[in-house]
Amino acid sequence: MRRNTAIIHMPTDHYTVLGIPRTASADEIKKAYRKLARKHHPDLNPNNADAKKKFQEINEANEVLSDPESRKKYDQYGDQWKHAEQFDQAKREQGSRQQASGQSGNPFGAGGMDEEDLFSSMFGGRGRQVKFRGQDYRTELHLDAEAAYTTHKQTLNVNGKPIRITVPAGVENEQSIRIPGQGGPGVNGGPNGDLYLTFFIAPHPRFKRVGKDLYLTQELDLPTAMLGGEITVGTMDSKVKLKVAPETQNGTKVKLKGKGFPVYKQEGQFGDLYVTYTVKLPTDLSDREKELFRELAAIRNTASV
Amino acid sequence: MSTEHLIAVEAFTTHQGLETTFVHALHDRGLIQITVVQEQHFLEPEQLSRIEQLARLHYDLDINLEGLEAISHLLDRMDTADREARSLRERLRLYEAEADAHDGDHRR
Repeated sequence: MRRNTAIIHMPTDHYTVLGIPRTASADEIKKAYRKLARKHHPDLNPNNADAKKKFQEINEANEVLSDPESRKKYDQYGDQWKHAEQFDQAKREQGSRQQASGQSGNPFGAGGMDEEDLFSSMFGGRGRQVKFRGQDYRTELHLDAEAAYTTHKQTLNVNGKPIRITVPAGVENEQSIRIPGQGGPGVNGGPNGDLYLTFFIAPHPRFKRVGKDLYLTQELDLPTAMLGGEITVGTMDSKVKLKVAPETQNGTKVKLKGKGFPVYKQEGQFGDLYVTYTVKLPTDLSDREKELFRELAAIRNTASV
Repeated sequence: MSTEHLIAVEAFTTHQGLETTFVHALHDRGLIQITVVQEQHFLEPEQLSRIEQLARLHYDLDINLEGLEAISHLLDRMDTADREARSLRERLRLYEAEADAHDGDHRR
């Protein structure tokens, strides 16, 4: 238990994060922060979790060190400065700390989800006091391929508020949609923010999906490949009977029109399903089978001479 | 045309503590769209997050308008490249699965 906490709370020194000496001036702190922020800012690194984490560290370091009060406490108590602060409630009430942490005057509203949290703590106190439009929320929805195949309703929990959405059939992996008005509440009669929802679709165990088309590898036994026949292939929602032509070669591709994935927001339209045959060659041949293959080989040799 | 869903540029900038000239400068550089209805300037709601993003870069990171223009183009290109990479990854998975299947055949 102790060991766990030690790992999670491994403190990163704020000065090291910003790459400045402990004697750095306010101006040096600001310069170092801006230099690093330009590199790791989430606006410049969309969908990059590493940059976001790094930026959080930089931002936290800047927040603490750019305020003389909190910097002094940090220098004195290190990472525990916030706890030490609790002993000193009277001072805290004077308000200097509140301003520095950006709890007031933040343009994005309080609470919210990861990235927005970051911004709300970061951009406070810049003078945009009166809020207007609610903050944008960002969330993820993980679906399996079957769920992405059909239009269905789903209830999401965003910041403790249930939001009922319709997931249109055919959404793609990592596709983002904007749901207007489902973000944070607007202030002073301003509109609500939006909800940005990113879908993550797990791969199907049988089908490979490329956009609206599906690909499937289907084994054929040797006699069916040689002599032809009929096989049953399971599609996403049904089964189809396929005629296999005699002397079907390994790797032959068959297109089943309209048996692929639904096309996003085009009701009733589907992509195609491509079936690739792989001929399964028999193993563990019996003596009788070997005999027949030898016979077969002899016939073909005679025929080709 | 109904202006119900539109947000007046003035109202947006006032409430965001931004200069109206900043929004117009973004528009002049083709980075955002402004809708004009009866000679009044409005913003479509989907423009707002882009403006807020550019405002953060401008005011908090000290990036000038020329820089914003360059960054905007690069972000758009990154987005296109990300989409392309995603679709290529899907296609690659397919070919790798096929190659695996053939490899299995050879080993047997």
